[in-house]
Amino acid sequence: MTVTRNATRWQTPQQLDPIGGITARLIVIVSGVIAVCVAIVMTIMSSSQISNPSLAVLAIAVLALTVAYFIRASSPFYAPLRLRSHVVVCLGALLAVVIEAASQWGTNAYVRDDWGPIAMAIVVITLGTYRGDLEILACTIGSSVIIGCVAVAIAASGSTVTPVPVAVLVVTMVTPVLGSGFASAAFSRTLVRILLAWRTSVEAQIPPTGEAAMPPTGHLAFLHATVIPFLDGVVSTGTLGEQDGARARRLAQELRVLMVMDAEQTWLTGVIDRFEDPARVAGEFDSAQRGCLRALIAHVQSSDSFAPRTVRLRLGLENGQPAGVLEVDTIGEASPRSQVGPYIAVARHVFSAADAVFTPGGFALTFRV
Amino acid sequence: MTQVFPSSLAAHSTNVALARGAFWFGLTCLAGSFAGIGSIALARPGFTAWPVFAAIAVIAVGGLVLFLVPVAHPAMVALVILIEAVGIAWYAATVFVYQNSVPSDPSANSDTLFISLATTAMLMFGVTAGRLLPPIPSVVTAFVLAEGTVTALALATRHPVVVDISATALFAVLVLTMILLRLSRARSRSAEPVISRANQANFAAVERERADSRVSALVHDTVLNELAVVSTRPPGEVPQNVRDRIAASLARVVGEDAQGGEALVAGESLHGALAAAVDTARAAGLAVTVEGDLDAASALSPRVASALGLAMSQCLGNVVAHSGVNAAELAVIAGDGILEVMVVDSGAGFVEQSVGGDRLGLRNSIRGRIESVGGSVQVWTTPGVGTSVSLTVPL
Repeated sequence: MTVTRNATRWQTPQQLDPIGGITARLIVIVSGVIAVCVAIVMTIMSSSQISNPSLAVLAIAVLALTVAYFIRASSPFYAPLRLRSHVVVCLGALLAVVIEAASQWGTNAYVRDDWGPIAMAIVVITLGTYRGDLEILACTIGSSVIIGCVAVAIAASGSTVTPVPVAVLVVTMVTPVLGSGFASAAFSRTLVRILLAWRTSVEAQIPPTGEAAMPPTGHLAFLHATVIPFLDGVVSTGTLGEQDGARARRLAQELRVLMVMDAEQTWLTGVIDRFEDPARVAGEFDSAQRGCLRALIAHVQSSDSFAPRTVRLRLGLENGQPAGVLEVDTIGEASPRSQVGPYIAVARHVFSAADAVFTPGGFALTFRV
Repeated sequence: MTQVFPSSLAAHSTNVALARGAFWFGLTCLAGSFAGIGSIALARPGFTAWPVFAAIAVIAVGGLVLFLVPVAHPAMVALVILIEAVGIAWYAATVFVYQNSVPSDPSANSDTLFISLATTAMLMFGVTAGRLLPPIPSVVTAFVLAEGTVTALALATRHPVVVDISATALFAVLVLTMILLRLSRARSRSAEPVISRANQANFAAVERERADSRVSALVHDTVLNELAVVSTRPPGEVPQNVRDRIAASLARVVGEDAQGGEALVAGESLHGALAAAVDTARAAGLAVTVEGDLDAASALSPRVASALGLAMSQCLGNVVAHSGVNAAELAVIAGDGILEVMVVDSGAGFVEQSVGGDRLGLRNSIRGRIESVGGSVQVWTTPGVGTSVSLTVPL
């Protein structure tokens, strides 16, 4: 295994496996809903300890907004989830913890039934798929320090009835977030190491090259079928007939024309029927970008949700940078968003920019190389 | 390179990552319990805390075994279950005894924080076992073992029994998560075969494109020339030297095509290929001045050396054919992992964009050939001033 320490530290599971982010998104949604439900139920159950109902409602609202933001940020259409989003999620959950504590200020008998740390733990634990371990650890420790301070402040307010030292209140509030954060970081680190090891092994393999063994086409087919037999004849007979000079000229001209035609072809020839590339930028796509577009084109051409004959690709230059748009008409009422999600996640990973747009009756992917 | 982690590996990898994450969650719970009970022991000197610490250590050892062992032997699994049962029983008994000694604590039920921390840790170690055993049965076993032991002890010691909502909720969430992960993976990974196939097709196409590019360059340099020679010769006998050259050209083209572009021109090291290119150009009346670090070229791989030599030949041929001058300079510069060869003339120059589509020399014989071996070509040319072509290849 040739995984370097630095590479492991700063890469995220989602970067190395864009589809993994989609798998985890369902967990983000469900756990987010659970977190909000826990907040509501526990607020109702401990309503006798609430001194400021407005703040209690506000805390739930902040948590709900944070969860909504997280669900949106983890969408394949916005992938990858960036550091900024991670910070927003952590700060949002932390703000909910603080506001919830404020809503019970002076009347908080038991910190164990405070939902803030539990809800934050539920939210934080799903971050492991999207961000790196060091980042998660930093957010976890920072959040825990703040929550610990909140616990100390609650103890200082003198409202708690449990006869335990302050440290126990701190442990009660901090442990869920610390445990969740450590788990999330370990999850992220393990997955990154596995994915990097897999990538290393894949790169060491030589993929099967079935197409490379196919019979020659274009000018090479002409070369083998016509030109080489002609020149072989000249070599073997050692003489030129009356028509051989003219035939050689004609063969040279035809071969040159075919070579030009072949040189004009791009990797898109045979992949898609309708494409425009007036600036000839197709050659600028790297292997991963070509693979991603090939896959998406293959999907929309074979899916019942798209009209295969309407697939079209336009390439060009945008601010001097190769860019393009892939468009296809959709069929039926149901939106095929979830179908193309994995392809969009990969596209957003391999292109410097990629955005998918669904319009009534159509789908378009714009991208920049 | 493929961009998609195969579905066949995804489930196991997620289980391993979940197992490690859960282990650290469990340890954090035990550490929290240790810190909390330690702080109580410090605040109440009469409280004997060491049995709790020992029980915590026993529970942690069980988790550590599940975290470290590579294979789950039935005997090992039974031993871990026994260790955990003893650990939680010892732990709960000690906590209950302490709670009974503090009747003023209104939260002293069987679901007290410290009991919850220990049962949560065991639950998490159940997830850790999921890397070796079926995940959901592992979690169910851990939950039943932890909660069952605590409840039995509470009943035996006439301690108030209350359902531990947090541990039970966590158990439900863990099982739900495992089920959802399986469902979600099946759906999201449905694109993986399509993307993998596309990547394979792409790889094959790129390889074929490279091979074709090398053959095309050779066709341009050899077969087109031979056809031109034949077209200008009068009918009748063909001299032996012309027949030999045509035969050699055909052998090179066929050899390159058959071997996927890996065939080399026999006996052509860079020195040989370069010398041949220079000799050919000089024979055509071009005065070629060679400068630079020629020895550095010996580090090139045979394939790269061959491509560079043939591209060089085409560059010098272009000077002879199009520049209108009879002198060119050749400079060889070795850099950090690369070798750069520059061909400079002060001839007619040209506008690269206006070169006709049928002019295949620069496109196929130079650019295509050099790019096929991972190199790059840059052209600087000004009409009336001259042309510099830089060929850069990896060392």
